[in-house]
Amino acid sequence: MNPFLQNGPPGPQGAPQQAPAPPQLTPEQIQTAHSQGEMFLSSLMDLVSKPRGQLTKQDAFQSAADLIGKGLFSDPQAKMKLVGQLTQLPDDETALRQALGQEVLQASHMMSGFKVLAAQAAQQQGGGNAV
Amino acid sequence: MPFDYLHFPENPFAIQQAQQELIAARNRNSMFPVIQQQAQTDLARSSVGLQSDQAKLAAEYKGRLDGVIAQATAGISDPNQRRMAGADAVTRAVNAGIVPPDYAASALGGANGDIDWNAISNQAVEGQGNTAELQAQFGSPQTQDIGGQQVTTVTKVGPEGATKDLVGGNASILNNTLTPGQKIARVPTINQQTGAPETVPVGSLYGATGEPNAQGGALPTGLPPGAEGAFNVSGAGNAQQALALQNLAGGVNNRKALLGNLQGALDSFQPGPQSDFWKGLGQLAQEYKVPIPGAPPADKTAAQEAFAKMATQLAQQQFQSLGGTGTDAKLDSAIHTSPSEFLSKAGNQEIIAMLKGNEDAVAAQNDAWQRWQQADPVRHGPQSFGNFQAQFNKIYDPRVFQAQYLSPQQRATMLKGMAPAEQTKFKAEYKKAVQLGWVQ
Repeated sequence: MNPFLQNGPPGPQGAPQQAPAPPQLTPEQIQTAHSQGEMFLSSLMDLVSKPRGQLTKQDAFQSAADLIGKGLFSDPQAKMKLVGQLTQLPDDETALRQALGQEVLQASHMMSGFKVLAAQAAQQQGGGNAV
Repeated sequence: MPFDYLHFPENPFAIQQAQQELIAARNRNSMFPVIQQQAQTDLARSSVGLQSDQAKLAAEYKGRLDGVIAQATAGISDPNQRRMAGADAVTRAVNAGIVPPDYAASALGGANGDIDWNAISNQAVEGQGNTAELQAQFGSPQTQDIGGQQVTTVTKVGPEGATKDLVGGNASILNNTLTPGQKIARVPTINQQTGAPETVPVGSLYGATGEPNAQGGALPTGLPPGAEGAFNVSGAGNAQQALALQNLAGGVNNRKALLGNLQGALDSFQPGPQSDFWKGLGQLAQEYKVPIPGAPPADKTAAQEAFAKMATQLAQQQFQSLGGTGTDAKLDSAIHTSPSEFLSKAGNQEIIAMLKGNEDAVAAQNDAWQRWQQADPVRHGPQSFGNFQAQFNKIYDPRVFQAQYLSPQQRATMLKGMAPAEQTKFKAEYKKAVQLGWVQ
């Protein structure tokens, strides 16, 4: 479900690596990715913040539709992947929360990665703090 | 030195360390299921022990997450930012191996109710810390609105019930300020210079930071002791002058007609120092019906008699307009500034022109006075006549009004008698008078 996995570092459960492949992103691309990542994570947090007994798969569909409306998942492949993941979401609320929690973890990890990239970009430009 | 996961973005020198930590965390995470499986295998020896140890483990993880989330969200007031910071803290905790990713995912999703995101968000609304505890420790601030200021004191009730002033006086004093709408609202007052009722904007009574200005934030609603009597006398005098101007203006047309007749009569007889002698000779010739050599004809004598009569009438009217009540000095003054049969024709013409100009000036002044009153009926009452007259005199030059009745030669003579600067001023005033419609 995470739309940023294609260019970012792998998730926390990826295979052991010797060193992360340095992504070649411009500061503007990093900023855009960071902004969209925040939108995605905020949407996920809205879902998991719903009181127990009130979260359904339909809510996740609606959130995904809202994000697409805001310009996320504009790449056709990312959109297809999202739809595929949405159809596999469990109906049971506890399982659904577990799946969404996993997405939160990955998205939040990605945000950390963007912060590192932004800090690197800032350092290369002559110092200053990151995002 | 342990890496500060919660604040590393603010430290650009920790980037390299952060990358190493991320890599190490991934490695730990990838190993974690193995460790967890080993632990579960160990615990599976006893189902009771397993459940007990799982509960202990879950409680331990929950405590860790609560700690990192509380640390990450401290000082953040925006509810959504608090949630984001909380999720970030959980992710860092996973990367650091503090909690396993499966537990973290379950906790993040609220699957087991381990993280209550609503409670985390709402804490921002409720504020940090326990208010009752803070007040017990540091006292309770109380603010009192004393009208112009908000005075805050901090007091603490001791165990014995006694109230203690913790700051030894006022903790803060803030001036009350006005909204833009309140600033432009007008309040009635009394003008201390003129005594006239007027309104002023409330904002003019206070400074930018709400402090009262020189008027002390208060408006006079009356006059100082003794001022009222003075204003009454002054106001009555002004009102009397205003009335006099109106009365004078009411007679302008009559006097101008009289002046026109005087000017016409000048051509019907020979005015001058000896005119009285010739008039008497003409009267004698008329009375006895005898031809007297050199005596003026009957019509010229009649014209001279009429001129003398009209000149006397004019002098009397001017005497009245001067506020005359019968003193010889005022009547004498009026007579000497009036046309006379004993003056030369040219002299009379000049006097008549001057008097006509004066009448125009009176009409113009009265017209301006009426406009002045209409412009602000509250402040420009009869008591303000003195102020009006002072303003009017700044733009009033009687010679401008007189000049239009003079012959070109007389005008040239008048200008010649002025200094160059005075000429320039006169011309400017003449133009202004034309613009105002006072002269043609």
